[in-house]
Amino acid sequence: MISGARFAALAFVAVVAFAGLGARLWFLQVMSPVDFVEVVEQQRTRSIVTEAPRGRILDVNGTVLADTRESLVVTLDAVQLREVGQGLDSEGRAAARAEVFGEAAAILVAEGVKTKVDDLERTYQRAAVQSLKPVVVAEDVAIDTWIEIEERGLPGFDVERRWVRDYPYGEIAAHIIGHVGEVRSSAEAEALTARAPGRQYQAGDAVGVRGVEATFESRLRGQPEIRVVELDAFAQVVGTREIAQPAVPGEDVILTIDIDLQNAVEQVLAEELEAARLRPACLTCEPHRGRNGSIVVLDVRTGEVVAMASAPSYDPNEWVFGIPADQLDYLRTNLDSPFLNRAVSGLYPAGSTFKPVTAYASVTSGARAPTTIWEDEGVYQLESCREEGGPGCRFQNAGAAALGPVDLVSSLSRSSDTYYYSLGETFWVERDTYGETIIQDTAELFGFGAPSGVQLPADSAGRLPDLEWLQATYGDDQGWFTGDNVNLSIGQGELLVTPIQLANAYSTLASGGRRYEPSVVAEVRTADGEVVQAFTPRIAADERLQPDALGPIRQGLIDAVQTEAGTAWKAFAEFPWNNYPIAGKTGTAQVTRRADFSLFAAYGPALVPEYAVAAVLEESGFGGEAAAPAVRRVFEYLAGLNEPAPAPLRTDTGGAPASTELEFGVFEP
Amino acid sequence: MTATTGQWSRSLGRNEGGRSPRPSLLGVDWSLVLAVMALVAIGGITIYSATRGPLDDRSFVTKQAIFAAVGGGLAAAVAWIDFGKFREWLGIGVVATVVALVAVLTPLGTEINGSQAWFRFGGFTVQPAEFTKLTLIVALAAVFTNRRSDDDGVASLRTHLAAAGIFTLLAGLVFLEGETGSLLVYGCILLAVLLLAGTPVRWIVALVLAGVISVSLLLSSGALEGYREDRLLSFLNPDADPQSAGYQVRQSLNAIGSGGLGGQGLFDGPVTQLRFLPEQQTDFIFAVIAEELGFIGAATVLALEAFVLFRILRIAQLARNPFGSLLCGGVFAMLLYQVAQNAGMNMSLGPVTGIPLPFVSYGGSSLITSLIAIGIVQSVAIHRYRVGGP
Repeated sequence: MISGARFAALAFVAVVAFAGLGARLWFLQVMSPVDFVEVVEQQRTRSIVTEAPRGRILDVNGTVLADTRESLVVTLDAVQLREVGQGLDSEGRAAARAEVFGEAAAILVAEGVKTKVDDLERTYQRAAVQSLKPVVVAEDVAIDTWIEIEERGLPGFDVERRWVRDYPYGEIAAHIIGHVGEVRSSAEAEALTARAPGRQYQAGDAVGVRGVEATFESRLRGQPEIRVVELDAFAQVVGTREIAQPAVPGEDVILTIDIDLQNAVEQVLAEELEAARLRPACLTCEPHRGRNGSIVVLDVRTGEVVAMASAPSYDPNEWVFGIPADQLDYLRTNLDSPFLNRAVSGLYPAGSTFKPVTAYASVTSGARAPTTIWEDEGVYQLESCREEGGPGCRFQNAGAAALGPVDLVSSLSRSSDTYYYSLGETFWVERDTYGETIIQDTAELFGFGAPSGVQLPADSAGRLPDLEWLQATYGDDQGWFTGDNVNLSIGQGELLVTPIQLANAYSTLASGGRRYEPSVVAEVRTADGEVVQAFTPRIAADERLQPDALGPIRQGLIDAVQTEAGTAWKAFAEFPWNNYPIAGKTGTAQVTRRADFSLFAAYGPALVPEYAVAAVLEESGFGGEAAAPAVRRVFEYLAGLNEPAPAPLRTDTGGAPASTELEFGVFEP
Repeated sequence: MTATTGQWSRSLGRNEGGRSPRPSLLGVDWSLVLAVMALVAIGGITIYSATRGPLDDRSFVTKQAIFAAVGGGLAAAVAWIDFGKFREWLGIGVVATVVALVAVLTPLGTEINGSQAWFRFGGFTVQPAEFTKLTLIVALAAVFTNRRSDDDGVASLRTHLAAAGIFTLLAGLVFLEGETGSLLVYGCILLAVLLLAGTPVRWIVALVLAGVISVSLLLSSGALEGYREDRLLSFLNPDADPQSAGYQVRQSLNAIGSGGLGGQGLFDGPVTQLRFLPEQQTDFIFAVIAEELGFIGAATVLALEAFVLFRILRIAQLARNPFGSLLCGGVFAMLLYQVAQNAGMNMSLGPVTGIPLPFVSYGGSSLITSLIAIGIVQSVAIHRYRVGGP
């Protein structure tokens, strides 16, 4: 007989085994600290975020400047590609993928899309860790490509219709409109989402990176749809759980500019720069390079930006889905910095266009009455170091021309430097009377030294130097000297202004003290046309300027244009200023080892001002030579003497248009 | 040993003193039959749940029903036969098994998941290694009861060598197929038979140690192909490769853990229904039950398996014939190991090997083998008063 102990041993083993299994089962199902239900829930549901159509950007007349259109795009789906070469090791899978990529690249290259197997592999690697959303590898493809990709059945590749941002006017107003770019990584998407709750971003989405596209991102983007879907183990969507957030289309942004006038102003800038290039400089001078510049036109009555040109420009369409590497390199190394919006970010010495500020300080402080005659000898020797007679003590007019006796009016119209040099010295030497920063304080009244407030990125404050700034920049041992004040008095030295600041300062002068934050955006409307935000004139300061100072200053500016001795007389020759009087001031800013920067700031009509215009043409010569003729031409448009031609639509749409119809029976041998 | 001959003769009234009685339905252990039927039924329902998919695929559950019918029929036939005959037919059985195991290695066989272990007949596959378990049980039981054992039941060295020979032959062929998971079943069968055959405990301990050492050496030598080694070791570190064995274990834990006490409901377990669990109708059917029927369902399955095992042990104990006892012991070991291994790997207590849950997992060879094994046990129950061998 078999002993009972041997059966007992087997029974014992079984009891232990079942006790263990039962305990483990109890622990997992009833006592577990892990919320497995939640784990499973997370694993089987996924939120799919779909961008809403982005709002449009329109000009003041409702012309569409930035549109959202549908485009045929080739996409790469990392989830599907993961299945390629299944069962092989990672090298085998990579090889299998490379084969697919090779075929896809062949199709795309035939389509004219520059791509390589390596590029596709990199895109795949990036997409594999990012999201369920297929990534765009080529946009605006032809229908033939669609058919070819569908026929080959390349795993992971698909052609679909997607929203694509389109800028029908290309380079025109590019700096105002800006452009969108692609959110490049999940980290970037998270950072953007954190800034705008409810507007979830994910890699591959469009985000405004320049211009109004950037500043009005939160308005334009709209609210993406969030759909919670249920997935099976193969990442196939088996159903929609809920729409966690419905899509709300982005809002339209209406600009203050008129695209035709904007185009005309840009043309003026380009043509006057070219003219400056061709105009010979003096023998000892640096040659006129004449490539870069800016013109800003403001409405004196509302602070609206009527036109804003910055040269050179760029085509925003090429930046919507990244850009070919060679072009990127070109733009990065381009000395003319086409991305720079010189109107708000370009920093220039104001030159003589700054003189009205010093003049205003002079009259209001009682330093010199407007009628006081100053004898301009062409050279100014500082009173405070007359005995020493060193070179730092001598300041001279441009060309050292002696203008003879000048009062405030003619100091402006004929642009006497010594008139202002002496004021600069007086202010500093007698700073106990006038205060240390009377010029700077007066400049602030006109908006210098602070961002203009226009709704564009990189709105620079310029630079309004004082002792504090000197020491913060160059060290505590620095001091503010008479020479610094003398330079500042004619807008040279460390002073830097932006064209929009200059235009706004003259607008303030024109309005008699009302200064606006310039608006390039008039209003924001929902997709249904309801106005949700209006930028009614935004007043930055409304201080009445003193008439006893304002009167002679205005007269000086009028005389600069309308008297034969005026510095802008030639530029405005035969301009019908009887009907449309213009007040303006030339400026010639000296920049080390470069040709003079040509400036002109003006407003008109002089008596009931409507527009203020500032122009800066880099390395283009005297203010009266390049900038003043440019502003004259702008005023010809503003005064209605010249009708701007319709702005041309860009012809190249960057590939086959999405609406290409199938053409049968057309064969290319 | 509570039952006495007298008690049984009273209840059966057919004790004919050492001669085989005619088989009678009264000798059948009906509780064992019912427990097995319950397991097969639960298995059928959950296999359906695990495989129906969105298109209501019934092919798996239909096939399993066919397997159950075939297995049940074979079990009834086997139960009817006096188990003493098995010893007589052993020679043919061993030869047939060896032929099948060799043939499956030739191009006649088919490779699935790295194991050259299947014959394909139309839509069905047959795995000889499963049926080999039965041959091994009968052979070992026969060897240790070849000479009429004394009551002390200690077998001789020669007997042990014979057992070692037959074990090595069958297990060796199965190893060549790549069915390493099954080898441990064979080892357990061997240990149980040795234990009941009266082999000294120190020998058994020495054998276990030798087995443990050789398995360790095998693993460290890298002789196993990567696929199987991964599966064996992944339970130690389930996150090492989310796409393979570790992934299976994690999904299995997700399924079991989310079942809770009462389960997600039949056909309503998300892990199962969305196919997150690979091989869910075979190796991971336990996780399906635990997810959809909860602790109550899974514990019921374990309790039924335990009940089956204890009935088998009881029949082994009550048999008057050592051959019958050893047969039951072998079946007991075979089923116990498989239940423990399968449920254990589902709950991440052990490595992932292709061991099915007896009576429950989908698979013809396994189900039919298990049912025939129950038939053998029933034969022992029915013919338990047979004292000596022919």
